[in-house]
Amino acid sequence: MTSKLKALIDKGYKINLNKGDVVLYLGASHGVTAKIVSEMVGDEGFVYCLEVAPTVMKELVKVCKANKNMAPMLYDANKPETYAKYIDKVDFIYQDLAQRNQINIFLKNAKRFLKEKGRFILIVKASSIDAVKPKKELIKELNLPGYDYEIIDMEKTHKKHYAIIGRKK
Amino acid sequence: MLKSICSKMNNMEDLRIKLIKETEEKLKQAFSEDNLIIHLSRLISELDSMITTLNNRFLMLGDKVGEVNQELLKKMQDARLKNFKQLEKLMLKNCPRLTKTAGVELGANLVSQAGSIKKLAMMASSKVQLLGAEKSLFRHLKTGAKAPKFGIICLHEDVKNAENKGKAARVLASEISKAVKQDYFGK
Repeated sequence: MTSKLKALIDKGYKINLNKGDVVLYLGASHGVTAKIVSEMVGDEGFVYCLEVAPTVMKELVKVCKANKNMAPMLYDANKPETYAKYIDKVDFIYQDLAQRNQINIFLKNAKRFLKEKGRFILIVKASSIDAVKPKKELIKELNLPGYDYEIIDMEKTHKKHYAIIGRKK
Repeated sequence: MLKSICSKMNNMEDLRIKLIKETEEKLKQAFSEDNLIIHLSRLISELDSMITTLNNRFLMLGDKVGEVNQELLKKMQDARLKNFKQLEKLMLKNCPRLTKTAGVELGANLVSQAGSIKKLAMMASSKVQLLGAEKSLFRHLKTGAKAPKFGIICLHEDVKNAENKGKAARVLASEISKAVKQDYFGK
């Protein structure tokens, strides 16, 4: 099982992560993918790593201490008003949550923190939104008003996962 | 230009250090001694059920139990004893009066049912009496079946051996809630 971001890069998709970007990472967990993002961003950039679960946070703090451009945050991504005091504006949002309302969470965060023409990647887990419905119908219902985006099927490497790459209009 | 970039970098470094400190403090709260008590008491009950199932299986084998199996059983019993001693220490440190009135295992069980020592101290004694009997309580409220008289508290020896169990449970619950309140609010 490899990281989802790395699978996307290996397939040859353009991710639009530049050096010096400030990134908001929702759902960082152990910090494996977050470290890859921090290497891509470089020393001038910065990565905010958000996570709710305290058991996973122990590992993430170790990773954040070793890398000088990562900061851990123990907050719930559902409530952006609680951590709004620390973040100004971001160039990029990477979201990897397996939540039922994950599209809603992204829209809340993007409205608050994303710059104009800012880029984003969403990893959508179809079975956590609705387990019974066929996934193709789910993807048809999905719409993000005010954003340009394309949907990528990741069935070969990660089952029932989709990636959405796009930018703000 | 360069100056502004430098000041920005310094700000980010300060923010990073501040955030790391904040999350470490939050982690300390999340893994506090209350949580240790809860997880230890659950671990002990899990170990108990494992030991009984293993013991039953070994009885079926009879004489043909190898030395390996007997060693395994001994190791598990040792582990249970060590965990129990650690739990006893923690309970005596955090809530000495509760351990005196209810005992180590029942006290830890009550804390784990309530969520934390603070929540247990805030409860009324009637709620302490019915902790662990939520299912029958709501059945009583919905359908009018018989009301439950005691929950997890019936594991205490005084309640077990009493003639009128409901009365004994009520008295013990009031004593327990008094003891926890003294532990949490007084010194």
